[in-house]
Amino acid sequence: MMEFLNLLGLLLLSAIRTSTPLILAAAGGSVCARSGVMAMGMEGFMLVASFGAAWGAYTFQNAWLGLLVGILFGVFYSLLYAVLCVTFSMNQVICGIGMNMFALGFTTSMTQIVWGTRAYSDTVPTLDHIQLPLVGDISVMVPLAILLAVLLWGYLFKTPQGLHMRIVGENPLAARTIGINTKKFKYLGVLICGLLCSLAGSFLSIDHVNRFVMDMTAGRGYIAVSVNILGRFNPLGAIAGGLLFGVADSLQNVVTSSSIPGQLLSMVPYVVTLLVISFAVRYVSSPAGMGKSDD
Amino acid sequence: MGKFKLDTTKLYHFLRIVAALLLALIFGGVILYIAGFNPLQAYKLIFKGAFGGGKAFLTTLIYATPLLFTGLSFIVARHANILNLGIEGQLYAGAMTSALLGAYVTVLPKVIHLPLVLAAGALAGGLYAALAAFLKVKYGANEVITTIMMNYMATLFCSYLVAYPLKNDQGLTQTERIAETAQLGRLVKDHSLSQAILFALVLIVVVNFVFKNSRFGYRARACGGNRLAAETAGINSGRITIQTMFLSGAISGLCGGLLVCGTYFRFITNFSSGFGFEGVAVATLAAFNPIALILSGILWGGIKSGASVVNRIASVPMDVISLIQALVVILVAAPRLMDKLLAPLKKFLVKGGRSV
Repeated sequence: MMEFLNLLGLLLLSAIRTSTPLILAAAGGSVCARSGVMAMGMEGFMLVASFGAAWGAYTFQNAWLGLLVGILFGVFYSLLYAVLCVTFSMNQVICGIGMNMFALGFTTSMTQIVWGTRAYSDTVPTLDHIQLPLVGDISVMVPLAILLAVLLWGYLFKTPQGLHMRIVGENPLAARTIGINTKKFKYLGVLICGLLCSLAGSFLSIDHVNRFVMDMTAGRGYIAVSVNILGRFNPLGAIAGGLLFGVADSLQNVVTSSSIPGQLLSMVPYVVTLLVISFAVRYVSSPAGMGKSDD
Repeated sequence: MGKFKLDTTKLYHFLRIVAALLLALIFGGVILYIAGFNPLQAYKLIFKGAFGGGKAFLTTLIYATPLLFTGLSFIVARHANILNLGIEGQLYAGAMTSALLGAYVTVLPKVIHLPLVLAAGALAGGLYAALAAFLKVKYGANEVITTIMMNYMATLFCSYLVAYPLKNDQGLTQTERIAETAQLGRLVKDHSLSQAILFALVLIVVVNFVFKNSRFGYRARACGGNRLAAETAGINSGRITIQTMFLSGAISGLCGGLLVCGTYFRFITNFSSGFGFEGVAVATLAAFNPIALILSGILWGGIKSGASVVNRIASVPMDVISLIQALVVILVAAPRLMDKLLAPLKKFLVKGGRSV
C-alpha cells in the first residue's frame, strides 16, 4: 500500500512536470483559436523556441538569456505564421503543417551546424528551480503556466478587448461592421500563442532536461491542439486537459520498462489523444470563424 | 484569342511553382553556406550525383519510388478534400503486415505468395486510413490530429513488435528475412532498383484515369469541391470519405509492402526516412496532378539521391533537403504571397488582372 502511494505521488509530480508545456501551449492555442486562427503551427513554434533556448543558454552560458532567445525565436516564427495566414490568407492547416516540417528540418540542420551532431546538443545551463510550500522544489514554469492560463482566461472573458477578439473569431464580417480591426486581433492572437508556445518549448530544452534533442516536441504541438478542443477553447480548460495528458505521458517515467515495454507506454499519450478527440469532444463547437480567411 | 489567354494563365501558374521551388533552393543554399558549404558547388554535386549517368539515374529512381506512392496517396485523399497526414503510419502498417506474411508463410508458390503479401500490405494500410476516416465521419474527429497520432502509434507499435515478440537471435530490431517466394525481382541486372517503380507508374496512370472518368472519381471530387452541394445531389459524402481514405491508405500500405518485398526483404525499425511527409511535399509540388507527380517525384528522388552522395562527405545536406521540402510546401500553398513576389510577371502573363 505504502509503495502504491509512493508511486502515485511520483506519478502526480511527474504529471505536473510533463503537463506544463501542454498547459502553456494549449492556453496560447485557445487565444489563437478564439481570434479565428487555427493553432496548427504550435508544434513548430515550440520546436524552434526549444532550439533557440538551448542555443542561447549554450552561447551565453546563462539559462535566463537562453529563455529570452527562445522567446525571440518562437515569437518571430509565430509572426511568420500570422503573416502567411492572416495577411496572405493561406490555408491554415497546410501552413501549419509546412511550418512544422520546416521547423524540424531547420532545427536539425542547425543542431548539426552548432554542435556537430544532428541528434542532440551539448548540455546547457538550466533554469533555477524555486521552493514552494507542500510541493517543494519545483520549476518556475509550473506556477507560471497556471498563472498565465488564468490571466488569459481573464483577458478573453472578462475584458472588452477579449470580447472583441472573440467576436473576430466568431464572425469577422460582423466585427468589421462595428469597427473592430480584425487583422490586429488575429495577429495578437497568434503572437500570444507564439509567446506561450515559446515558453513551452524553452521549458523542454532548458528546464525539463538540459539539452536540445532532435524533434524534441514529438507531436506535443498537435496534442496541444486536441487539448485545446478538449478544453473548449478556454485557457482554464487547457489546465485540466493538460493535466490529463500529463498523467498519460508520465506513465513511462513511473512504470518500469521491465513490467510493460517502453514503446507501449510511449504510445499512451497518442492513444489518449486519439480517443479524446474522437469520443470526448463531440459536442464542442469551434469558434465559427476559425480557419476561414478574412476576406 | 480566348484560348491564348488561358494558356498564358496556365503558364503563369507553372512559373509560379517553379519560382517557389527556386526560392526554396536559394534558402536552402543559405543554410548550406552557413554550414560551411559552397552552395553552388553543393547543388552541382547533388545534381551530378542524381542525374549524371545511367547508374546515378537508376539510384535516383530508387529514391523516387516511395515518393511516387506516398505522393499519389496524398493526392487521392486531397481529391476529396481530405488531408491524409497519416501516410507514414499506413506505410508502417503495410510494411509490417507484408513482412510478417512474407517471413512466416512459407508453403505457397511465388505466383500466390507475392501477390498475397502485397495485397495484405495494401489492405492493412487501407484499413488503418479508413479508421481515421470513420472517426471523422462518425464522430467528427479532425483527421489531421487523428492521422498524426496514428503515425506515432504505428511506428511505436512496430518498434515494440521487433523489440519484443519478434526479436531475433542476434538482437537486431528487425523481422526475419522474408521467404524467396515473397521477394520482388530487380528491374535491371547489376542494380538494386526493384520492380516496385513499375507498380508506381501503372498505379498513377490508373488512379488518374479512375478519378477523371469514373462515377466514384466524380463523386469524390464533388465532395471535395462542395460537400453540402454534393450531399444535396444525393451523394453519400461520409461513405465517399471513407472509401477515398481507404484507397489512399491502401496505396501507402502497398508502398510499405513493396519496400519490404523489393528493397529491404524484412521490416527494419525506422526504415522510413519520413516518406509520408515527403509525399505531401512531392504532391504539392505537382499541384496535385498525378501525371505531374511523376516528374516531381523523380526530381525529389534526384535531390535526395544527390544529397546522400554529398552526405557521405558531411552530414548536413539531408536535413537541409527536408527543410527545402517544407519551404516548397509553404510557398506553393501560398499563391497570394507568390503573386505579390511575382507581381510584374503576373501582370505580363495574366491579362485583365483577375485573381487566379
